[in-house]
Amino acid sequence: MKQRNSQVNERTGCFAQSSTNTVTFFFEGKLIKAKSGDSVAAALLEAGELILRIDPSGSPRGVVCGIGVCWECRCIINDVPNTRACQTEVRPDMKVLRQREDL
Amino acid sequence: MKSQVVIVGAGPAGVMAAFEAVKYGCHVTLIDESPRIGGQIYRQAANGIAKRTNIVQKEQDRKKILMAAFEQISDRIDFLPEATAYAAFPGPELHVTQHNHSFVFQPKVLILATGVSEYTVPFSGWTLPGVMFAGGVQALMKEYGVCAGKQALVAGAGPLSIAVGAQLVEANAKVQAIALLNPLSDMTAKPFSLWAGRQMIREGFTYLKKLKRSGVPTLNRWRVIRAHGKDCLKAVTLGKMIRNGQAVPNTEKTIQCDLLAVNYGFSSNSELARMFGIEVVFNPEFGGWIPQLDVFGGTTAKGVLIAGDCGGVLGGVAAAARGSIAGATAAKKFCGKAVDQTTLTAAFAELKRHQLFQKAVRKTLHIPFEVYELLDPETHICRCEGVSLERLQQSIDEGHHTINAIKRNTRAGMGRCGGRVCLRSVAALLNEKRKLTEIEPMTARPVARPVTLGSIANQSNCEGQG
Repeated sequence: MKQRNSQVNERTGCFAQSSTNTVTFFFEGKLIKAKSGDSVAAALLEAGELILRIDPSGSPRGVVCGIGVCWECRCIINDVPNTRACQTEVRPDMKVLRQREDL
Repeated sequence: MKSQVVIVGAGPAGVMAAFEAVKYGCHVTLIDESPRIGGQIYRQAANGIAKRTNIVQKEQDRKKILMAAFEQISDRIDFLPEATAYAAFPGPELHVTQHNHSFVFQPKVLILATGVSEYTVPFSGWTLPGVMFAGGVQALMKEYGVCAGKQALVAGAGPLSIAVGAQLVEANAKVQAIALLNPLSDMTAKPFSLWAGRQMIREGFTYLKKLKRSGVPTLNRWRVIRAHGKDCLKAVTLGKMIRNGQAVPNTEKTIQCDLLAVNYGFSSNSELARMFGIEVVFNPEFGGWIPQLDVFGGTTAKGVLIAGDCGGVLGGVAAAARGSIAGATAAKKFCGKAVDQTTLTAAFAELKRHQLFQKAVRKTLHIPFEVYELLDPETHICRCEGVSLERLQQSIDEGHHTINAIKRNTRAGMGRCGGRVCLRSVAALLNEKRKLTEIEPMTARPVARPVTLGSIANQSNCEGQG
């Protein structure tokens, strides 16, 4: 546990702020540019992509609480469904899909 | 070594509790869902280039003090970031998941500093993308420098709206208006409280000045009636009301916007506390279902202390003070250390000021029931399970008169958010129909947050580790 801990601390340490690099990933097959360290939700909002999910009744849903509480921004990230966009850090070439719950 | 003190939540309360406990020589494990400490209020930038949202210097100073406190103790504690506490049992025993592993802690004392989540009154069209919680909009600015919209409207109740409005202006959004259910001047009904919270008032004026300079109008006693748009938010209709919540006829106006930042106060994240059987009292203006505490944060559950806004919303400064008190109490009462009284005295004085100030703030947080009556019957109240207002009212009329009964009948509150978004609205409906004196929350049971079966299967016991 201790070892894992220190790794995590190195990566996201309290005052350690990495320089900004651009990361690219895919949303619905479209190339999206993000800043490294961005969450998927932040990157998609910046790119003007607001609809992350279609609920069972067919209505569009997007980011609501932004802090991982409401689960409204759940989408399919690298084939894993029900992944919260606001709690997932963008990685290069990540594949993000809108979650269709109406189909 | 087995961790003597386990703290859930690394906001101001959790970090200060850890700081005090470590100061007296306790071994501490600090857990948080985020990758970085600070909680929601002192959220840190993810990539160091967040747009400027620091309008109030004092707020930045407080953040720096908290970061410095954490730096001092960071090599002496176990910090588990991106970790979620999902179950609690008397003992105390705490189950935590992190990166597809899970751990069981059996500390001498557990400090719950789980903070609050946001509450909003539902309105027609509130599920449209572009409608966001105001604190969430703020979090995206603080952490990623991302402004969630170009034309924003801020609405709701309480002082958060003016802070978020000013920060949106700073982030170059066009803020159309700030619509408040109760004018902030309602706070003047409690002049002694205002004096106690004069520092906070001063900071509030900094935000107001910024809004005024940018020509953002404040609409007092206006409420959101409807959000319009097909796929995304395009406009919001507001309506004027009088003090008791009654609508003023023919005052509706529609404002174009692509972002609605809405907040009607906060709700205590009391699920873990309730799993220990700690009694809660429903107090909407103080944060929903509030666990009952003594002055040291002690509860009726053995070895469980509560610190910060989870025990009633008093704000970030009070949370840090309550954290210090809980940390020192943990060291003294449960780990047998001698503690220094001077820090405690200062913390109690700070706490007292904010308790007094809260009496003024709560004047701005009152939500008249009439606000709920504006909803279309088919509006989803429980967003996770898609339960409409009509369905809930039918359920209450059929004789389901507790939150638990309504939940079993309609599934409201059964979804992924654990009822944190909708249950207070359900409580408001129930209260209006039945005029109850006391509304019990739904029974809290593990799991408190969605976790994967894989992470539970991949479990290790933390006894004998450190």
